[in-house]
Amino acid sequence: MSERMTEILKGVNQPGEKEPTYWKSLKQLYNDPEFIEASHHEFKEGVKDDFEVSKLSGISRRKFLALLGASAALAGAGCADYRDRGEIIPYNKKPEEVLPGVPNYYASTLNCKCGGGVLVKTREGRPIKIDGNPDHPVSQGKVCAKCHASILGLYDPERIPHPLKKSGSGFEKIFWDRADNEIKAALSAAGDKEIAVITHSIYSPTSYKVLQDFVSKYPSAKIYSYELFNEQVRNSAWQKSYGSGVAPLINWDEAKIILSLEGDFLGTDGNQIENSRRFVKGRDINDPKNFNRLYVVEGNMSITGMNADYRFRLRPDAQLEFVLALINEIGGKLNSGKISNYSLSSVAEKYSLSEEKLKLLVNDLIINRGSSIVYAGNILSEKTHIAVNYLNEILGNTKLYRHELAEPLIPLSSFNDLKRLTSSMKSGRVGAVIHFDSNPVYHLPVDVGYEDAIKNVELVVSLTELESESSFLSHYVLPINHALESWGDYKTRKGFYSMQQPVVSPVLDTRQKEAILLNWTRDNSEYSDNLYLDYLKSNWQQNIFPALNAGMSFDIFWVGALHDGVVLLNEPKAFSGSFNTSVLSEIQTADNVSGFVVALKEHPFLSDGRYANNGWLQELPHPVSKITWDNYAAISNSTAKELGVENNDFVNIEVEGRSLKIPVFIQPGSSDNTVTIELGYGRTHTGTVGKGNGFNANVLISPGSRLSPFLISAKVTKGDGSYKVVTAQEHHSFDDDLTKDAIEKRGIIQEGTVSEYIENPEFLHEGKEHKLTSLYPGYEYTGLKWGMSIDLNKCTGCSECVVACISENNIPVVGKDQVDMGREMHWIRIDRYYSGSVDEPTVSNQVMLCQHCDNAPCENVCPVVATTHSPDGLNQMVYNRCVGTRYCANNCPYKVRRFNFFNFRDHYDNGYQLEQLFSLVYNPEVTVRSRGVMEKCTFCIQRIMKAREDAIRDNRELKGSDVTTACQDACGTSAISFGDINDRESSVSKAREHHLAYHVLEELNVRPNVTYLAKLRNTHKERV
Amino acid sequence: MNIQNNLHTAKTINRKNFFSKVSKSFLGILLISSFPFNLFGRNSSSKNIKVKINPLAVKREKDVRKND
Repeated sequence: MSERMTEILKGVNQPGEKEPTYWKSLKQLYNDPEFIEASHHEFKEGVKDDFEVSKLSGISRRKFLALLGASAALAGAGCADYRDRGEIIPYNKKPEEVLPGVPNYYASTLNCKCGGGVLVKTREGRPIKIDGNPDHPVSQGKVCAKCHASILGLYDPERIPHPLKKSGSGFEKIFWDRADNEIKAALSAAGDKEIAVITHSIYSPTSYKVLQDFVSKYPSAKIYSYELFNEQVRNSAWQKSYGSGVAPLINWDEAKIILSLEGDFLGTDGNQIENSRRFVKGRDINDPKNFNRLYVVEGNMSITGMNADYRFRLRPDAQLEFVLALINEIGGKLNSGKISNYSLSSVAEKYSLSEEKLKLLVNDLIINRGSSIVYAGNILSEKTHIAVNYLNEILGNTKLYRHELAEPLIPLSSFNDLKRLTSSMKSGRVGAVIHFDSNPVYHLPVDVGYEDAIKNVELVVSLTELESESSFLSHYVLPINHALESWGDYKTRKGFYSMQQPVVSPVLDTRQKEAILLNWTRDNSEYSDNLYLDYLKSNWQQNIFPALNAGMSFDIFWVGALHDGVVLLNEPKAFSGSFNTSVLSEIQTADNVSGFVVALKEHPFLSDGRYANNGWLQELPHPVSKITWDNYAAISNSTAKELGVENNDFVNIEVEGRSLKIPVFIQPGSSDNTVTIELGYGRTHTGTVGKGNGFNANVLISPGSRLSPFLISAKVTKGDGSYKVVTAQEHHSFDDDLTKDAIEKRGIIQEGTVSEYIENPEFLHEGKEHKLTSLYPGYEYTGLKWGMSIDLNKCTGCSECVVACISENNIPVVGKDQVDMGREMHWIRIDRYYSGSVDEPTVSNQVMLCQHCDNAPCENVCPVVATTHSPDGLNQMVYNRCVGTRYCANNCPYKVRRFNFFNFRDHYDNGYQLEQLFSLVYNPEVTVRSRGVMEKCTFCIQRIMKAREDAIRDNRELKGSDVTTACQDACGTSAISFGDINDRESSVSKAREHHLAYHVLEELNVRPNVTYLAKLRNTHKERV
Repeated sequence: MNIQNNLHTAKTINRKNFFSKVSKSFLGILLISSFPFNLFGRNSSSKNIKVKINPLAVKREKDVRKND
């Protein structure tokens, strides 16, 4: 082993040290021969097939002609059923709202924990893009990756197009009238038997009223509400600590010191968009003295962990011990006393935590008391949450709390409630079950026994968009509207209502779920399309509007509410409660830690599995592991060795008689004997995109766990066989002997510390000055010149920009097999580099896209001039000229060009993306590329052209500020700036002149127009 | 004269046989175009989709976001 390698394994490789070695994967770190061999080649093995005459078929002339004739005849016959291209004159009667070629925007709301205030862009009545609603108090113009991708759900060709009734082992198509009549009759016949309506959280006051009306009509009806991922443990801990209310939101922007315990507040915990936006306010490079400092203690690398200044790896079941020790340490120094017998030094020794780093943490928390915050993750036990509440209390951090969350209108059912329901089902006391857009068969823990119990119910009705595990076991399946086809109102926070309106009429024979239920409450009246709209307006007019004192007529108010998407209220948000110290007696002792612990977490994109059939989200590389299309068991390197497994090998996980076989992935930074699995995979009944991907770890959820339902002690053993998990983390690595170790030598990642920057703002470039010469004469850009800057201090690696780019630029889904060959088509990617050791890595993220180089090396080598340079600095692609030599991709030092090895729309899943319904998602302003064509980021040229047309129409000069790119619009932390780099006042121009600005591979003199602002880590000046 | 002789001697197809072959060919093409290709195609139920705007929704004229 080399001396350097020994140093790395010891952890002497942190970014602040001299020339750290960056690595993307363990294979690269260990100089695995397979990785080294692969990195010598431009394309992955099997991507290009050499042309060998000897391998050609020896078919005879006669047979060839016969086959040609037969093929022509068959093709002729096959083409007889050609695809309908629509009317030649689309608008004989043009709708008043539509101007061909001019987009309309509608404000609406999606039911998402990111706030879901959206602005939907439509073209000729067709929704094509979702962005955040800038008027929405929570969204403030930004939404999460799931919201961006949810437009694909509207055009999912596998949406259920009409009502279905169970017939034998399958389903038959029926009409709505028949379904309504039969179900109404069955509900009336239920008599005293319970009618169970099972729903997710209800935040809509009008939906709630519909459910109440339903209960009035059918008095035996009972409403059950559940969420797979919820804040019940956090809230119950809050109520024990403070007596009432729900756990507060946190003003992350006011926190100087943040300690996150197994919490992913920048990823999956709470509102990631709002949290990130507030968090990066403390990462402003123009105000380095007010940088916040993030400490993370966790068992598996999370998005928050990737952004930590100091990270400790600790198994999640030891968190209570850690917090109790921290309370004692801080309590001792603040004279607030000890509450247990744990000491920080013994905990540090027991779990191999750096005592020096812990001292820095303790000092930071004490010095910054009142402006620091300790945050516990959702999966941790109630005791840990109580301990964290107390710690914040003694540190005086409660002033950072914000009491704005509204409680769900129907309290979430407990596991015991659901168990009682299944017990009633089994004993025949339940006459009907209605799945109100929920999927309890997939979501509920095995202990609840729902799947078996439902078979005893005479009438099971599922209201759903797509086939699900629950609809499969139903007698009637009723298709419901997508959120973009629905009316509604939401109240998720105090202070405003969020309005939902249909931006398109239902594209299939579906109905709004509330309207279906409402229709069953009415006697002998015909269903009308506006049934729920009339009900909604009537509820607002009678019950909500009068209290608003709006000072206008209801009709005017209603139009304004829909236009803005929000209705603001003046509501009190104060909370008065004091910490109940008697609760401390419950948390004095932590459970013994031994064996393996399994942590079940929310997937950042698929959530609880409801987005499983969304190809954009399935193919989006995981922010940390970069794995696509599957979930996996993340374990540490040492644990892998102990179990005798490598990446892709199966392990068996056993919990209380239940077991799961799942492949492992060695995740740097994981704690030993900890297995982390993200849920949402292993769907057996959904569309073809989501079916069969990954493994259903819901079977491990344990309501009876002594820790929490998602944190379980388990037996883990090596399993038989393996399963290939595909990761994009090593893609686009291209090193040869000359450029080996390029990342550190070439400064692809450049970073420093806040103290370095304050002492010497020029530290990044000092000693590295060089003069670059070129063979080519320079080109003077006298007018507007487009450029982008990316602030790596604000980039959390969340991938919202990637989904927005997919949606804007018609990027196809290629499938797992093609991702495995390095053929994913994303124009923008997030490269994740590790430094440090395998056990204690530090992460650096870098957004990588076409750099639109002034001296673009791709342009020189194109034999057909398919890639050229525009006078405003854009590196352009002319798809019609491209003949697919791939010379440009070969010559691109950033590896950002993507080649269409197939017509992926046709190739993926038997033409899934060529379905007529799916085709409606495409942005008509962007060319849909086909096989044999190279493509790459265009800086959203269609938006630039639109702005140019507007400027010409208005007889004014085009300005850099007239254009935003899709990735820039989507970035929740506003890390991306775009504009005219010749305009000295533009933010992108200022970024280029910043002390921390650098260009990747600057020494190649390709003169890129994407500027990176180097990441600063707020570590202590003194080395640890 | 020779031509007429040739016409009489050439192998001709009788009227019944001709119509029988035409019908069989038509049926064959109909079968080929309707059956085997659909076996491999997606079983889609989303054909002839019409997009209709909802006239009761309230639009915005333009995106009001600014690039700052």
